[in-house]
Amino acid sequence: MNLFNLLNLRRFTEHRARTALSISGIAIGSALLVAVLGLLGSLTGSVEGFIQDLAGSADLEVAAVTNEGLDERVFFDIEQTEGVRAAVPMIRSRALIDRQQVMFLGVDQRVELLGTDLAQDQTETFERLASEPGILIGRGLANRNGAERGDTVEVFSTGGEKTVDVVGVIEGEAGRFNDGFFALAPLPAAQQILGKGPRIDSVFVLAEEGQNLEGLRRELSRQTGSGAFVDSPSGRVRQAQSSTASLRFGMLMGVSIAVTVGAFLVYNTMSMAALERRREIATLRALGGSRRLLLRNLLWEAALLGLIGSIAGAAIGVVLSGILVRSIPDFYTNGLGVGVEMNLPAYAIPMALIVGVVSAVVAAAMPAMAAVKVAPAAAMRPVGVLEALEDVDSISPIPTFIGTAIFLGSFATAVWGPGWAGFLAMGGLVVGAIVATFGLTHPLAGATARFAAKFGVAGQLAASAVRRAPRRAWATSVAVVAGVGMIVTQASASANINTSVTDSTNSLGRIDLYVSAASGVALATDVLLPPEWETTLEQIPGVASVGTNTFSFVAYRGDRVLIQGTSKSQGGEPAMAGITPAQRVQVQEGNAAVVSTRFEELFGIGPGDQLTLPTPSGGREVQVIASVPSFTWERGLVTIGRQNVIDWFGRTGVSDYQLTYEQGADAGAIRSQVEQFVEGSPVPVYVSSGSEYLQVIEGTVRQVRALFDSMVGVVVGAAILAIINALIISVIERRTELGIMRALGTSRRQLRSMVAVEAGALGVVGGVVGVAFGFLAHRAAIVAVGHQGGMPVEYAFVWGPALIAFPLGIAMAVVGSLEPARRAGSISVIEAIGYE
Amino acid sequence: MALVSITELVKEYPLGSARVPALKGVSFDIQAGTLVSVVGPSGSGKSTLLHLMGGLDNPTSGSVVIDGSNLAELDDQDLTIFRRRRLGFIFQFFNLLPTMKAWENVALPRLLDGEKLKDVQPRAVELLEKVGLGARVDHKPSQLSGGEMQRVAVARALVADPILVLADEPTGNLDSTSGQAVLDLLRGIVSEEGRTVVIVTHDAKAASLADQQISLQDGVLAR
Ligand SMILES: Nc1ncnc2c1ncn2[C@@H]1O[C@H](COP(=O)(O)OP(=O)(O)OP(=O)(O)O)[C@@H](O)[C@H]1O
Ligand SMILES: [Mg+2]
Repeated sequence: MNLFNLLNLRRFTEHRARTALSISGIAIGSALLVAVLGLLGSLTGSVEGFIQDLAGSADLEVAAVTNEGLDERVFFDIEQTEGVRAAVPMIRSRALIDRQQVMFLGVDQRVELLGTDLAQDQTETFERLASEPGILIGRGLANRNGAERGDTVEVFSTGGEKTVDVVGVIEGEAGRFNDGFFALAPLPAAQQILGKGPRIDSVFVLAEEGQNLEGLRRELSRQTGSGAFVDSPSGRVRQAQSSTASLRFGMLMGVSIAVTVGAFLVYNTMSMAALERRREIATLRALGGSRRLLLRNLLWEAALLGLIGSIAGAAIGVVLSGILVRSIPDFYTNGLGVGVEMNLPAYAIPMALIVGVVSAVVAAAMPAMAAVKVAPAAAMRPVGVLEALEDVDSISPIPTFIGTAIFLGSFATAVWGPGWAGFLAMGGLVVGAIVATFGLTHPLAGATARFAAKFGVAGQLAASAVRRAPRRAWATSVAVVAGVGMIVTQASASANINTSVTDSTNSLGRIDLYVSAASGVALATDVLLPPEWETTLEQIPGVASVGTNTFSFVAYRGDRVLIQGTSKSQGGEPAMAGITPAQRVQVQEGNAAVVSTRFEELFGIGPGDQLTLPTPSGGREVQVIASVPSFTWERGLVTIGRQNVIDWFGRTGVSDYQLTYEQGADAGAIRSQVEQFVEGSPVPVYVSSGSEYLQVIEGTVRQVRALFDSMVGVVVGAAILAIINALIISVIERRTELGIMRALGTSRRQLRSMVAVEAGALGVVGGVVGVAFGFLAHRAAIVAVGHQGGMPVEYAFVWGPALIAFPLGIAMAVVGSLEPARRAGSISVIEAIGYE
Repeated sequence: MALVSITELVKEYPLGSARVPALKGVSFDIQAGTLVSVVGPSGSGKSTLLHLMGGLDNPTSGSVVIDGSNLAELDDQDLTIFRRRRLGFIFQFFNLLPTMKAWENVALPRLLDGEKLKDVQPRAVELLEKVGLGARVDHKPSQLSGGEMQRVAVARALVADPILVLADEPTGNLDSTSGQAVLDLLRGIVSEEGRTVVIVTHDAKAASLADQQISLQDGVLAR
């Protein structure tokens, strides 16, 4: 420990800036890791928390496949089933209370069996509810609308509008369920208020001790038929999670790349440090320090740097994750059914620390082992000779081969491999590229030197520096490759996504006016608009036709699939735009369905196949006639006629009306008439024109893109740090030489230009390789995101990003060279040629 | 019996596919308690000889036996421990560690042997006083002159109580006054403490102080 302190720790305090630079790679990787784990954890945690608060100790939940609910008699059958200790019926529907989204719960005394906060010590409240008709509301809602005991509130749901008395506000832990935005009523009252008739949404099941849950699940499934879906509460969490798969996938892909780049930075600084410390290590070896001891110290040093870096990074990551959580587009949170709260998983920080320490040690291992192999006799060598020594073969076939193999293997995995491997494969591409270029160090350095030599005296000095230290040239240009490669990959992928989204949604612009129960890209599936509006809207002068859509989620094979019922379509819906008019008629007449390409991919049901849809009235057969790309819902979309939705689901409400105008109609006048008409509605209504709607979609794409752009920004920042680091070390190492050059009459300016030209040349070579890398990585990313992340994105080659990224790469290198160049220019002759 | 016994020592350096012979069969003995100088023109193999005597490098053939240990029979780990406990080195370029104070540099070989800093401190300070640097104990190498640095290095070479001290041109980077001070120190170690010291040197005066002179020419002993 003494030695470690003297040799390794003191170095940190004496070279603060250098130390900070060398931990920055780890800090960046760990910050991103924590931020993304925080974001993903918040998505999961919010759903988990919600379900935990609701289901408590339940082992299974028998849930209706749609919001329409289950016949309440099912409950008695479930209660009688062997292996069921107890069953708890419940209504859990979304509704609006005073225009606020709330979770409306209907329960009876049995709810106490679940042992949740909500059910605890509420005996008194239940008694009050029994004698006094009305509802209890949560603290959050009460704070928002100011309602207290004795007030009345407006409840709007699929059952229409009702005025209801508030008999109390639930306080404390229980009052915070769903952030306090909920209402609680006795089961029959809830059924009445929500217009559910004799239906319930869920039955929570507590199994008998030692009961085989899977067996029980299968038995209950069989018993309840296709109108219900039986799963464990955690299954519900899984289901909700899968709806954010593309976000999850993209984020983890970004982190995997960033952590790889971060580890490379550590490798980089460690190998520079090892080179710089050769004399010291040789001296220690000569004085009797064993290799093992020195190696152990170097690895401890790396571990400590990794720890400090990851702690700093984790702190930044926590802040970042808060920002990310606040900026997730609605598009992703929509299907979760709960609000997303910042919820950093307990494992996030330990995991970041472990990843930070391990990757620092792994990255340092190779350079450290090479460093302690230095011959003890090397300590006797004159100053300056040893430090400049580099032993690089012209081409190392082994790393070139291994790197190429990793690269190609990762490419293949991304394109053809299983979904879960996709994001690791993207990290693999980076590793492969790093290792392969390592093998090609010499040709790369040669190309850089030839290019640099074209720029006068400074260029020739730069060329000789590059030739003499090819490994450092490699390290610097790989940083440029990482930056440029990331920019090209991300920008090209974004361009493709943008095009695909635009192609798939531009038909929505054909509609003149949308009247919807949900804002932006959100889907109205709970609270719907009255169906009678159709006639009223049709009668507005200038309106040519009114199409209607009704959405509903159904539980399909353990997933949450979106059902769209459409009538009088003008071909605005992507699903309708993608098929022939004859097919459109077929669908709307109730004889056929269109599925999204994602649905076909997930469930293997496509054109020509028969699809059995689970509905509240049992399984319904429908013929699939087409599959169409759609971004509406990641877990698959099935479009059928609206009459089917009414008949099969009993769902009469409307999610959105789509108006088209007559030729020459006064759009402004119609719109204001519509707005006037919907003003008195108990439900919030969102009116927007086709072009406004397209803008909202564009805005969402931009939001998602911004999320990923910020990740690229972080990697570019890390790359610039790596460049600064490599060039500064290059200057420090050559101090004696630069001092002698100054003594021989080289001007400060020439030295500065030398460093700048060196950096510029490395930027050019790194840029070329980076662009090539980006082209391939883009291909892999699109396939991976498309096939495995659930987005129907078409790959198309684009030049634009390369044209921007290439000069940006050179700029990165030149910016990175500013401080090193300044240092080179300010070297003092006397000091530089003095010893030690 | 001789403290150091060198027999038919050959060292060839590989250079591409060719081999550069640096020592072509050198044999001699060194008695304990003597000051030995190694002289010869540049490139004659002086440093090579010293590296082999110090177990810093392996000979192509021949043997170096020090105090009964045949260095060729020791593996890297044993050789490392041998250097640490039995030998002291003084380098032409001092090779002090820049992050450490003078006394910490002196203590280094014993720290490498697992001793605690505070246990070695009294001895390190005592040695620094002995080389005339009692007032520079807490200085970093960058705060010392070349001559002072080399005197720290002498103290470092003595801290583990070595049986043999090896110095490659210890005065090569010093002015004549500082060089003389270092030579006086080394002479004193031999005559007062009875240690054995081998100095590679170009300096005729240094060579003349020696009890035994080994003269190399083109990799062989010059007679
Ligand atoms: N690592 C090496 N690789 C190849 N040849 C070497 C190496 N080290 C030394 N030589 C060669 O071995 C010969 C002896 O070198 P050595 O360093 O022992 O000479 P020296 O007598 O110490 O010279 P000087 O007085 O200049 O220090 C020289 O010809 C030298 O070129
Ligand atoms: Mg020599």
